[in-house]
Amino acid sequence: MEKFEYLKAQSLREAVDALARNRGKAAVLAGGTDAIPAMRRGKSSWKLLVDVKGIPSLGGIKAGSRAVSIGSLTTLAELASNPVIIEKLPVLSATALNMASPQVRNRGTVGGNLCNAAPSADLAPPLIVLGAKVKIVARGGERTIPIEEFFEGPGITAISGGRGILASVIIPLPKPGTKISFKTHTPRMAMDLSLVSVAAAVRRDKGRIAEARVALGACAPVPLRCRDAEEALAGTSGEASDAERAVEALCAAARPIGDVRASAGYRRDMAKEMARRALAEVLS
Amino acid sequence: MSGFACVGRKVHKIDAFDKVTGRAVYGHDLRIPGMLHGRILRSAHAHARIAEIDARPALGVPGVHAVITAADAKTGNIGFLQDHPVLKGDRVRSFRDEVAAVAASSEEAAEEACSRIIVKYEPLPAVFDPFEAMAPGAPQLHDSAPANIIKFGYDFNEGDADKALESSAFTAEGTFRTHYVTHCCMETCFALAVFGRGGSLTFHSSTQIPYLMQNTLSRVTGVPAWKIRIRQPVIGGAFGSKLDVYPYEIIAILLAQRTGRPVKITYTREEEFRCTPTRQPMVIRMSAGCDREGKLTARKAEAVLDNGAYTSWGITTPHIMLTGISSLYKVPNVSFKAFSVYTNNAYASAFRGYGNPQGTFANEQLIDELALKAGIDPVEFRLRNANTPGSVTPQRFRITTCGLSECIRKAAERIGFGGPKAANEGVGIACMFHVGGGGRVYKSDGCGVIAKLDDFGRLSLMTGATEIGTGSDTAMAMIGAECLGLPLDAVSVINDDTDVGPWDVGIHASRMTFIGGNAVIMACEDIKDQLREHAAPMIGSDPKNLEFRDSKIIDCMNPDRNIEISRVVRAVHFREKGRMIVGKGFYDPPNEFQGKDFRGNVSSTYAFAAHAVRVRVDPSTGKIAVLKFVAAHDVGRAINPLGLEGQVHGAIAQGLGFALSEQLVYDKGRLLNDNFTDYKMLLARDMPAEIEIHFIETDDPEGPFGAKGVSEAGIIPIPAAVANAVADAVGIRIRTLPMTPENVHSALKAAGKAT
Amino acid sequence: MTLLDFLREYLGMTGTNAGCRTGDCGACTVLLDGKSVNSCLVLACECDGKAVLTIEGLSAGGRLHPLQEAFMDEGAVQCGFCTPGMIMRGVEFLRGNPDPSPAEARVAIEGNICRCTGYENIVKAVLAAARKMKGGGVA
Ligand SMILES: Cc1cc2nc3c(=O)[nH]c(=O)nc-3n(C[C@H](O)[C@H](O)[C@H](O)COP(=O)(O)OP(=O)(O)OC[C@H]3O[C@@H](n4cnc5c(N)ncnc54)[C@H](O)[C@@H]3O)c2cc1C
Ligand code: FES
Ligand code: FES
Repeated sequence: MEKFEYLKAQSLREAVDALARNRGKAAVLAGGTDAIPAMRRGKSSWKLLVDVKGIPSLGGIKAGSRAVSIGSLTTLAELASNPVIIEKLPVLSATALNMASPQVRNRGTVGGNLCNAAPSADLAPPLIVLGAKVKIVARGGERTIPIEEFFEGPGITAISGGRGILASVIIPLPKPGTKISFKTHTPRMAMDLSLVSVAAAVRRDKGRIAEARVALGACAPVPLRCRDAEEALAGTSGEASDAERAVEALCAAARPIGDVRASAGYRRDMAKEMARRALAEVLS
Repeated sequence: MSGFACVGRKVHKIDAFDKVTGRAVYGHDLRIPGMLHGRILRSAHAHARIAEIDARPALGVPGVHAVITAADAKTGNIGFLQDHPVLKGDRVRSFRDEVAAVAASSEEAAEEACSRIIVKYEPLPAVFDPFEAMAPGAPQLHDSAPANIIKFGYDFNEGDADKALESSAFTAEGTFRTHYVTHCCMETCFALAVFGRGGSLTFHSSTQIPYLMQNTLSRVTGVPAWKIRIRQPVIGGAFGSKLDVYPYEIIAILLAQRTGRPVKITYTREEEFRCTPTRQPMVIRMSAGCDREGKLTARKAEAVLDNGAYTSWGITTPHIMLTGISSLYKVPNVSFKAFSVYTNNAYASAFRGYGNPQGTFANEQLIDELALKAGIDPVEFRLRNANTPGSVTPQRFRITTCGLSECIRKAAERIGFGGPKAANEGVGIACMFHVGGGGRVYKSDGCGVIAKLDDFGRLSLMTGATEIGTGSDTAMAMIGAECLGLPLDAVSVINDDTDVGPWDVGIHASRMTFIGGNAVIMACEDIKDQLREHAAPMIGSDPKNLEFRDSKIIDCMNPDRNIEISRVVRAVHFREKGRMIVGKGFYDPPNEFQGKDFRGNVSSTYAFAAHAVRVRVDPSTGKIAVLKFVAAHDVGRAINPLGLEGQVHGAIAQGLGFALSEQLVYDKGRLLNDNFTDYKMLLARDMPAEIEIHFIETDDPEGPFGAKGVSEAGIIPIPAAVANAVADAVGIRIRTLPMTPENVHSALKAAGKAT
Repeated sequence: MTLLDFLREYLGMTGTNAGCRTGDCGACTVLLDGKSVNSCLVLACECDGKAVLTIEGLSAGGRLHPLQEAFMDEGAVQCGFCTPGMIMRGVEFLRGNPDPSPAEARVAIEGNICRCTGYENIVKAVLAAARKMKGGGVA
């Protein structure tokens, strides 16, 4: 590992300033489960790491009447076991529980998973279909953007290179009648990055599909919201044929790569299969 | 059970306390004052001529003590056929090749220095497939091997297999392909070389072959063998990977010589994946035939092994592959050909099972296919052909004890063969044959033990028998305790130092408990003879009547006459013309070194097993779930049942990994998955929820207390058993490993069976 | 410097093993403020003011932790390289789940690789330790 400076930031302001002063050379350190191995492998070489774990405002899960706010420092273990999440957003707690290992979940954070911006990041597809927004704090102030706009490329986000800090994720509470499903395909039962993943959320109103959201992970440079698939479902009664049209749309949007983990063809087949499973669940 | 005080009981492994408290000292933990860290610069090409190496920039890095290249470090070659230069001077033949090495005061400095060495290569055409390597015009790797075919082939014929196949009522044939996997010892490789008094070398190593290593290190470095002492710390896994000497080990010695300081080389995990050897991938073309009654008539096999760029002991794996093909079942006609081909891939070595898992993958699938054709249940088919005690096989193996039929029945019954199964579920069975009483692959198959009984009744067993985690030293201690009637805590095994322990050929061929155990018995008998002679007059008994129990010597005719063992030792010791109680044992089993005809009783007994699995295949993803696993093993006798179970459990995890998920993926010789994220060993959750292990005790007359060797056996039948179960579940026969979800899915698609 | 290197190289506490240094194997597991973490994924400087418990500290006072006993009793140790990490992971797990099912025990060690034992006896050891701790009242 190359030598670097370490700053334990006491406030959001201090952290944002330190990043801005060292733009391109500094990075946030949250749980470190992505950042530290990346530095060891020489994939990234930061001159300054800004540890944000001492900033109280970045932690905590707050439930309001219409939305839940998850602080970026929330660990995967906390997300998995938090009673509010288990009750109101069970897809998130289940997803977190299936990620990585207990040790990594004890360290790895929600913010880190999103800011690391791996195409396979497991929290991204469910957050996209939940309609989540992310709150970003930068030198110029605060802003909130839809999560799917946050991802710009593999490892690249709207705040890469020290242009800000992800403060929290804000998730509107699903309206009554909403069903959500998230399916991932991994060769092993644990410790595996998703080869493909599909999240779907559907709200029915008087039998018709009033709202549908579908997202695809590990099948493009960024986690993908698939509006064509959503349109294929919206307004329909959610018959098998509607689902199949949505699956087709989703497959058309998928641009998987072939790599050491799987061929592009197999990823495509599995995207279809996971899409079928997720849609079958939400349309049942 | 058997009336033994220690043997057969559940005991704590003698090294367990240190291991659960973090006190065990592994190679990684060794540190010596003044020690430097060595690092190796590897090739940037799969095949290239080295035009120039400029190592000078490395010397400018602060903390660097030495940089060596082939030009200034002349050594002999290593490798089974001595085809492997330690540092490559004019040519590299694979990405793992050592080009230069650095010793520095820190790992970081050594790494930085390596990155500054400038090497100019002239890339050469490279070849990564053994069949392409044999084709005309393919790049040649070594002058000694025209068409890259290594002159170390196997050709065995008994009867006339071709004729027998022609006249067989049923035949089956197929081409089977196995893939690259690697040992993944949890402790990565290390070597620590320390020069001392009079130019003597103490070499700390996790080798499995300390005495053969002395010999090789001496030949290659020129340090006289009598000046070389091998010390072994606690070893964090081996599985066959440490049966060879590797360039990095010689390099540590060269750097220590050059700097006059102790030098340690420790691999990173990535380096471990890229640079340690693999199991040899094979392409096996096999056919088999049987008569109307389902009796095997013939077996014919031709195997081509991808050797990689250099040879290791692994080139002899066909030896063991052949044993399974010729001797698992009774088969009168056998033809076997195998040879290895040089390629620009990573090179292969010994790995648990030693070629037998690959051969059995073909062997045992063809049995199922034959059974199907003959209309006989696969379990019944196996029983009809199973070897039996008293038979002599085509390779002239003399089968003494053999529990194969019991194993088959047990496994089949417990997995529910012929019983109900859900959709996409299937059951499969496969058997195996392996050496179980040593294996004379080297001129000596011996092991020596010096047993010292001290004034306090403590027994020290000094031996060259290496412990690699399998629990062989616990088994030896148990045997020592049993022989002398001592508590296990009073026995220690000192097996980490060639200056102390007498010769042992190495821990391989599942031989350690069998051979080492017998050597312990001999040494203890020696002690007992001495003690009887002295104790008899002390208690007024006949030496013939003396037994050893509860730390005492007891007259079995008159138990009131007894005496503490330690009292006898002291009485003999502390007197005029005193003596010490030391026993010697050297056991070299009554097995035979095979000649060029591959005939001869290579092991003094043989191990048998049958594994049965129940799987469920997901036709839409290709995922195979192993629902239940039953392993039935003829173990002779379970000396240490806990340890034995652990050996089989571990083999199941490795075997299922080999079958289902593990694979080194190369792109033109470059490894793409050098980490545990992408090299997928099975984790706790991936293991079958239900595992049953059954030991069939056949009480082998040659084994220590009846035991046979088993540590490799467990991995051998697994890929075949799983493939047979998959065929039963979804009707497709998988002849290419691994059965990853993707590969199974594409086979299902090809057969029009994917959903 | 990672916590792992700090323990091993700086403090000479070599009970914690390094199997990969990328968070994949669990051999380096220690408890940080009571939570199991991969010490190769934690910087030493991040631990300022925190409590680190390693395998060496587990049997402080000369008494083995029930998990350590159980690993010996159940034959859960072969080469032993994964053992300290397994045990430290088990300690945290049993604190949160004193009465686990076999399936839960399996999930608990999903991030710890063992090449030797096939996990079976390790799972048994975790369950045996749980029984022992309920009976004996060890924290
Ligand atoms: C063994 C192992 C298994 C894993 N398995 C999975 C898995 O199954 N699924 C999965 O999705 N991931 C997995 N991961 C990846 C990783 O653990 C998660 O992505 C985790 O959530 C990252 O969080 P962190 O806090 O550790 O991130 P860090 O490593 O601290 O940070 C990651 C990146 O995000 C930046 N960053 C972090 N927080 C902020 C912030 N608040 N504002 C701005 N930038 C920030 C950092 O600068 C860095 O570039 C695995 C990792 C390991 C080591
Ligand atoms: S060394 Fe830390 S997880 Fe492997
Ligand atoms: S005992 Fe060897 S890795 Fe677990």
